[in-house]
Amino acid sequence: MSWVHCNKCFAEPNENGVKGTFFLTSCSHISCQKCYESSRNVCHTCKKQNIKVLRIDSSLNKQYRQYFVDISRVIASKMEEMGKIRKFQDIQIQNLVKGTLKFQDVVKKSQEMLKKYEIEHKKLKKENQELLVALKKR
Amino acid sequence: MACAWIHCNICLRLPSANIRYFISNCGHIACDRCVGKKLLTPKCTICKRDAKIEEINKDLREDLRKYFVNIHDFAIKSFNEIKAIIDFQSKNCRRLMKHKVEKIQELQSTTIKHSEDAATIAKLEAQRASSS
Repeated sequence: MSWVHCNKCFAEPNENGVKGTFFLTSCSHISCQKCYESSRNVCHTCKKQNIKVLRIDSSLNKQYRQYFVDISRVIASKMEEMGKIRKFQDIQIQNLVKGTLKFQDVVKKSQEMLKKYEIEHKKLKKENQELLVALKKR
Repeated sequence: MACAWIHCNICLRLPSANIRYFISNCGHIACDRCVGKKLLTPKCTICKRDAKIEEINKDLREDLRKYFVNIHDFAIKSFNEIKAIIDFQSKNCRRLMKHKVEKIQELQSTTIKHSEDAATIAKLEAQRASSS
């Protein structure tokens, strides 16, 4: 990225006479190797103490590497990720709805069967009572 | 994992105190009971593919855990990251640009001074030539 430069001396990577890697500080400043070595734990730009640094090269982790990449690539990759997540969650939700409808169907059928059995049960109870009465009379 | 839609794709059991869920690489979710009955791994009974599984809990690997986030939270987090990146890059661009403009102005005034000096020298040489 052509905007990368040492915030102290304005040296740019790949410029003539500029040696070594550049560093990203924990206070979000950029430093060339020379300026970093001359100030170490203190940020030469904002004077913050006990700063930590990361090398700006291929070892930089995914989260910080994003800062040095074309922003449209970052946006495209986030959109792709969101698309995948949404697609997966949509399928799961559809499945849950389908399952719920099935359950509702099962419950409805069970209730209908229960009603049928209740009617049958009433009938049999009545029949039973009539038979008992008939038996007693004998 | 506090997502409201999670359920076993095989027996449809919903979350409860003791239930554990697993996700397969074919994208299906099953509860511990169904996994115990070998209904998800080694072969997924839903899509009939060979499947490997991981338990869905707070230790789930980052690249799978993201499928269980609230998508709006993910979008907001992404926007904040993008904003931070743009701020960082444009701050640096502006600083470098300002430095380069200052450098150009310096060079311009040096150039003007040099051409003024050259004109003066040329005039003096001409005078010397005419007086000798």
